[in-house]
Formats: sequence, structure tokens, C-alpha cells
Amino acid sequence: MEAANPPARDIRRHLPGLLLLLAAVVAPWFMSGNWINILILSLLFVFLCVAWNIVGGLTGEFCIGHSLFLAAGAYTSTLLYIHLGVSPWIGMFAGGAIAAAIGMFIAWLSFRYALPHLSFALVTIALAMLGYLAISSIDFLGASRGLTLPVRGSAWYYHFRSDLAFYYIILAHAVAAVLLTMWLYRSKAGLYFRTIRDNERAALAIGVPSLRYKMLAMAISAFMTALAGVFYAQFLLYVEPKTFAGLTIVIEIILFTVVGGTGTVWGPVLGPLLLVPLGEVLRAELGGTAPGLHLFVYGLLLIAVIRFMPGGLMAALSKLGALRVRPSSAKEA
Amino acid sequence: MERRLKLVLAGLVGAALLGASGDAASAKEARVGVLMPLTGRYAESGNGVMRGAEMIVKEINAKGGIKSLGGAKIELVVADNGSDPTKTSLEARRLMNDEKVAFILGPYSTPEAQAFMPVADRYEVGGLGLQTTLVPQTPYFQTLSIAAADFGKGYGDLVKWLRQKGAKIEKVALTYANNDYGQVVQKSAVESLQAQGIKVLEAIPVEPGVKDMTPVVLRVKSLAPDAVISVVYFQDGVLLHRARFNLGYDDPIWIGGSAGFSDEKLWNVLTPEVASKTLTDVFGFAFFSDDANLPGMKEAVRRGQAAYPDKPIEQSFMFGAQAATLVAAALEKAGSTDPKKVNAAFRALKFPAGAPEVMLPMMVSGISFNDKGLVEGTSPLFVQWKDGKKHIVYPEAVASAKAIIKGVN
Repeated sequence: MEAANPPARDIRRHLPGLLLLLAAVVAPWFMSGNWINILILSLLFVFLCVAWNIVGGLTGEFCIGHSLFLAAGAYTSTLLYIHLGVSPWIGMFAGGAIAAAIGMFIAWLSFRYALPHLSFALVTIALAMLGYLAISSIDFLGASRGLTLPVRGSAWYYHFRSDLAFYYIILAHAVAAVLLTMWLYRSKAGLYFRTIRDNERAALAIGVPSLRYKMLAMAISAFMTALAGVFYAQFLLYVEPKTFAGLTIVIEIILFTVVGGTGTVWGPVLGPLLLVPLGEVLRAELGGTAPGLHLFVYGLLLIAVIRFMPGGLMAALSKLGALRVRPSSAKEA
Repeated sequence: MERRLKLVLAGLVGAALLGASGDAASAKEARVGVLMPLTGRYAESGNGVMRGAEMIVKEINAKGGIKSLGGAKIELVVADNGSDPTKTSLEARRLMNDEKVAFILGPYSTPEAQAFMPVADRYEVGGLGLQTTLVPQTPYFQTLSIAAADFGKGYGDLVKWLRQKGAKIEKVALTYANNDYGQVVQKSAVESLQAQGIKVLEAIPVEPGVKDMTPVVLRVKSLAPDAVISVVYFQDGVLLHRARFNLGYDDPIWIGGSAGFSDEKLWNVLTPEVASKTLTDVFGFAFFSDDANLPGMKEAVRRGQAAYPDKPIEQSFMFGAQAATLVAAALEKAGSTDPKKVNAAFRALKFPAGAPEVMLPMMVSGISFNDKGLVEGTSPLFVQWKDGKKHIVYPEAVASAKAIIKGVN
């Protein structure tokens, strides 16, 4: 009898996630084009937030330089596509590799001398600004005017007539990212990440190679963020510095993750799934009739969430008992 | 059972009637998207465009709508892109996919247009950019603005005209905002000047956000040019004129634009004392000035003042009015709300110089689009200031005053 229980428990534990996935798969069949676009954007941010959470939440290093990785993915695949005709499906791995290398370098530069956390945040913000200025000035990268991607109209070039294809691609990305985070929680690497986050000195004392694992966390996070950059570039068919290398998108990623619940598996999923549609609906409903009001309402709602749920939505939900959160996650959130 | 069947039948009939009435309603309206920055950096201009477009649409609807569509009324479906390229892309998708608009009036700026073009290409719905200085890369996009490269040519053309009027211009210095826009304008201006055999002494880059233009003016002074061309924004233009005033340097013929030489606020910001010394004989690049000798514009300004007595009738208002006039004409010509037909009709529009539909004085040859989607035969306006008022002095076809040229009159 006991032997039959663990699988049943597993199913029960993963039931909310499975139901969410099922809803995500069938949702676009009942939606208009605009709602599909909003969902695409929401899932893109789910993917980005989950990626950031590996460094910012799991490992506890506050990185503000993820725009560098997003731009690395978007610009590498776009340039390979425009100048050499390389499919973005291949270019995405080149972009990911470059972003991972940059991420590891930043981690090595920041942590080899055991600089404090604030220094890491400052180093990443400085490098992000440097990247933005470089992209805005270099003509080969389109400078401040950006690059428009030529439409070749075939799936091999990541081009689809229907937005549904983009929806399922980014859904696959987001699901894979969540599964990766769940696996990381159970793996040795994930345990090391959390040990470094909770008490780095203790981690070093028991022999955790802190620098190596921080570099690994950055590499994984950067690689994933670059893949998001490739997707975003192909979806918009346009890359430009403000969107892909500016600090606004990093602030959004961090904000959505914090609102959802930093360091948890589902917080970076919940935050963007609520806030991105909210922002888009407010803009669509109020933007044309009362310009600026949507930003005001959005700001008020954000203040309310942060004021009344300082641990994020996941912490609030776990308090209500609506969703089960792993003890370590709940503690962190 | 019979009662239930009746209810179902009644429901079906009701649904069919509702559906039929929806079709009938849609046949009586032509939906046009307006994709404008109503918030963010370009909000002031976007709202000005909205007022101009709304005035024209109200007038057309009051006169019986689009005749070739059986009197269909134009319905503007407004979307705010927040002055942001990404939101432009998403809102364009929404307007094309969900709102099923026949055409889109917008976007406003060049980065927004970069994001808009692939979407227009993909959904085959046309759009009309306003202050978009790029050359369109799709048959589904056209622009009312002059292309950035033609800004430089405009400066060159003015110099050529000044020389024809007797001005001695053999050596020219340039100062330009060191960004993408400034670099493109500077390059094309230098090409145009050199093609006339004029010596370009130096092109001096100025970082956007500069705090003091005195070193730039001193450098220009040391070059002793006959004329100077300055590509500036509003704030660096103000600094440039103040530096010229402080140094008492007004020897060369000074040409520049756009906002830093022709913005409505410039005279008062500089103060009349500085402005009267520095602005009265310079040539300021402009897209619009309400003193132009153009019947369509004068009439639109009069109607605009009546419709919005408490709002300024300025450049963005006139761009909105011009754009809406053209979109309505395209709908009339197409006789359809099919986006492909409306876009084709838009590209084929032709209005001769001086026609009532021509409202922007920079369209000196009338309005017709070339195969790239640019208005043919446009010319930037050059204004001169007198006692706080701007007067167009070039091109002569729409000029309202005679140019004051140093060394000539």
C-alpha cells in the first residue's frame, strides 16, 4: 500500500502545474489574435524571469545586466541571418554560447576577489550600460536606428504566418525552463546554488566551489536569456538597442519576479502571467481614450501588491494554502 | 418538448438577426486605425496629430462619409503605442488582426516605423508614417516626412539658391548632433555642397546633451567660413545661439535646423534681446509654418482654430489633418475596405500643387508617392524670424516674406 502512494502523491503535487500546462495548450483555440499576442509576451517574460531567477533567486546574486544576454542572442542570430543567411534556429545556439561566455566572464570578474553583492550589481549595471552604448553607436549593429529583419516566410527561418506557431514555441521554452528549475532544485548544482545564496562562508567552509557554481548559474541564465532574445527578435522582426539592450526590460524582469516570488519555482511564472496581461489590457482599454491613465492604474496596483504581499504572490498564496510551496522556497519567498 | 424547441428556434433566429445587423453595421463604416504615441516621449505631438485627424474625419462624416462606399462613415480605432517600438509592433498586430482596420494612420517616429514595417508587410495592411525619416522597405508603408538623407540635400539646395541670389558662399563649416540622424544629415549635406564646388572646411560633431556650445562656436570662428550649417535639436540650438550672442559672432550666413532654429518657443526661450540679435538673419529649417502661401493649409488652419480655439494649430496638428485627408481620399478611390485595395489606392493618390487637399507647405509639387513610398518633390521650408514671428522665405513658391541675405540686402 505504501509503495503505491508516492506516484499518487507526485501526481497530486504536480496537478496545479499540469492543469496550468493543459490550460496553456488549449487557451489559444478560444482566443483572438490580440490575446494570443498578449500570451506570447507573457510567456516570453515567464521564460526571462525563470532564467533570471536562477542567478537572482536561486543563487542570490542580484544581476542587472541581463539585457546584455538578451541583446547577445537577438543581435547574433539577426546578424548571422541578415549577412550569412544562417537560420535563427542555428543562430540561437551561437547567440546562447556568446551570452554564456559573457555571463561566465562577468561572474569570474566579479567573484574571484569575493567582492560584496552590491559590487556585483554595480558591475553588471555598468557593463549593461556599456553594451547599450556600444550597440547604439556601432553602424554594423544598426546603431540607434536598429535592424529590420527581412521576411523569408519559411519555418526554417523562424518565420510563421500565424502567431499560434510563435505561441507554442515560447510555451515550449517556458515549460522547459520551469522543468529545468524544478530539476535544479533537486540536483547537486541547485543545492550548491542555494547553499551559496543562504550562507556563502559556510558553503566555502564545507568545500562548495563557490566561484565555479556562480559561473555555472550565470552561464545557464545567460544562455536562456539569449534564447529569449532570439525569439523576441523573430517575433518582432526588428531589433533595436532600447528594447533589447536597455535597462527597462531588466527592470521589468526583476519586478515581475519579485512580485511573483523570488527564489521559488512558480513565482517567476505567476508574476509575468498576471502583470503582463494586466499592463496590456489597461493600455488597450485606457491608452486611446485616457492617455497615461493605464500607467497610473498599473503603478497603483503594483504598489498595492508590494505593500500587502512583500514576499510576493507565491508567499501570499502559500499562506492561504492555495498552492503548496517547497519549504525552502516558501522560506525564501 | 415543443416549448423547448420553440425556444431554441427563437434563439437561432435571434442570433441570425443579430449577426445580420452586425454585418449591416460594418458595411456602413470604414475602420481606420490610428497608431500614435499618446503617452511617452512623443505624446505632445501624437495628441496634436489626433486632433488634426479627428477634425478631418468629423468633417467628412458630417458631409455624408465615403461616397464610393455608400456613405460609409470613417471610424477611427485609436491605439496608444507609448512612443515605444515594441508596443507599436504589438498594437499594429492588434489593429490588423482583431480590429480589422482598412489602413493605419501612423506610426509617428522613425523607430516606431522600423517596428511597424515588418508587421505591415506580414499582414498586408498599409500604414502612413508622419515624422518617419526612413526610406520605406515595404509596399505597405509610406511616409509624409522627408527622408533623413534629403535633409542634407535640403541644406545644399538652400545654399545653391542663396548663391544664385548673390550670396558669396565659397567655404562652409558644419556642426552636427553626433548621432545617427545628425551623421546622415551631415554626410548628405557635405555631398551636396561638394557637388556645387563648395569647400567644406570642417564638420564638427557635437554630442547630444552638450552643456555649452561656446567651444564649438570658437572653433567655427577660427575657420572663418562664409556660411555655417548647424544640425541641432532644440536645447543645443538654444546653447548655440547664446554662445553666438555672448561671443558677438555673427559674421557668416548661419543655416540650421530643425527645432533649434524654428521651434515656436525659441524666441521666448532665448529672450527677445538675444533672439533679435541671433535669429533675425539666420535660416531655420522647418516642416511647417502657418504663414505659408498655400490655400489648403490656410483653410485647414482656419477650421482648426474654430474646432480647437484653446489649442495651438501647429505642425503635428497639420500632419494629422493631412494624413487623415489622404486616408479618406484613398478609401474613396478604392471603393472598398479591403486593406490591399486601400493601400494600392493610397499609393496611387495624386494631388497637384495648390490643391485644397495639400495642407503641408513642404509639398511644393503637390502630393504623389514614388515607388518607395516617399512624397515626390518635397522641399524643406526655411524660415526667418522677425519680432518673434516666423516667416517662410524658401522655397519661393510658398514664401510669405523676402529673405534677408547677409552681404546681398
